[in-house]
Amino acid sequence: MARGHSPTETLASALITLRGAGDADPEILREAVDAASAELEQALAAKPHFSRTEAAELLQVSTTTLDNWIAKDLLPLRKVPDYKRERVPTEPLLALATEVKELRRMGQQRGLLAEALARLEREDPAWAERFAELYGREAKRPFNREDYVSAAPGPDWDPED
Amino acid sequence: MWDVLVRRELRPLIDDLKGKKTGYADAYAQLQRDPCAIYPPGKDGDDGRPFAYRLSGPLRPKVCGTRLKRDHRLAFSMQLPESDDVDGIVIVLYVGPRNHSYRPQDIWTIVHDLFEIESPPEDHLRPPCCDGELPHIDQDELDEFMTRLSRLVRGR
Repeated sequence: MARGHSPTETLASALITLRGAGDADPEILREAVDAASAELEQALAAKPHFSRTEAAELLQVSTTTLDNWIAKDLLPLRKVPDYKRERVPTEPLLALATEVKELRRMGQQRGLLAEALARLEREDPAWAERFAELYGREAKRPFNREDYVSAAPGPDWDPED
Repeated sequence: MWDVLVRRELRPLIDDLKGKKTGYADAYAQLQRDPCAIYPPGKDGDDGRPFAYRLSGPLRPKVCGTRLKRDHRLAFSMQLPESDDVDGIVIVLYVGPRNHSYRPQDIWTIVHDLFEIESPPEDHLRPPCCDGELPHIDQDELDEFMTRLSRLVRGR
């Protein structure tokens, strides 16, 4: 019977997949990235949660910022046996960190985690379904644009108005 | 570019400013450009002055204010953008005069009353609106505020 891969073997395998793709055409590269991502996710199955310090590293913020986000209920936490402090579950942490990285790439500097959370709620049905399980509360109601109109001054206003 | 919005039933609050020369149009234009703007330092070497500042007290995480002409003020908060086309959404909460001598007509007394919290003693810290996290109000609290404000506007 074939034995399963160790996490290190899985990491090596993912690296080989990515190196093998080289600068091949975009489609082959995409397939290689997907395959390597799947292999890396498999390796991460051995680590279902992270400490707050590790989570701050992954999100590239200080632990103070991370604690602020936790206080605002923006980051899910889980009680894990044998650990004194609550831990950050891997899957939502990686989803949020990916969104935060994308927002930084687009130049956003403020309100990163709140925006990352809003994007996941908007765009990922699976995230919306799991929200209550992850956060222990219902998702906040989104802003309803239809209740609002432009606050622009009227066209017949004097410039000094 | 920011989307600057007001609750549909509160639009009369803004229409009432026509002809009053409060400079609302300029403030609106700046909110659209950048509500977080800091004006360059003056010649006397002071720090740059923010276009808008945070309120003190319990509304600090939620509300910013900016000065208009004729001693008027504009209170606003922010929401996350719904799309990548805009930088964010500014929600106008109230516009009205600062009235130290008659508190029932003072904008900051009214805004605190609408949030059903005590108005804090005046101070002059006025930190820039966008220091740290942006001001934000949960949807449920925003709805409650707007319901009370609608009643106030209808009662006038």
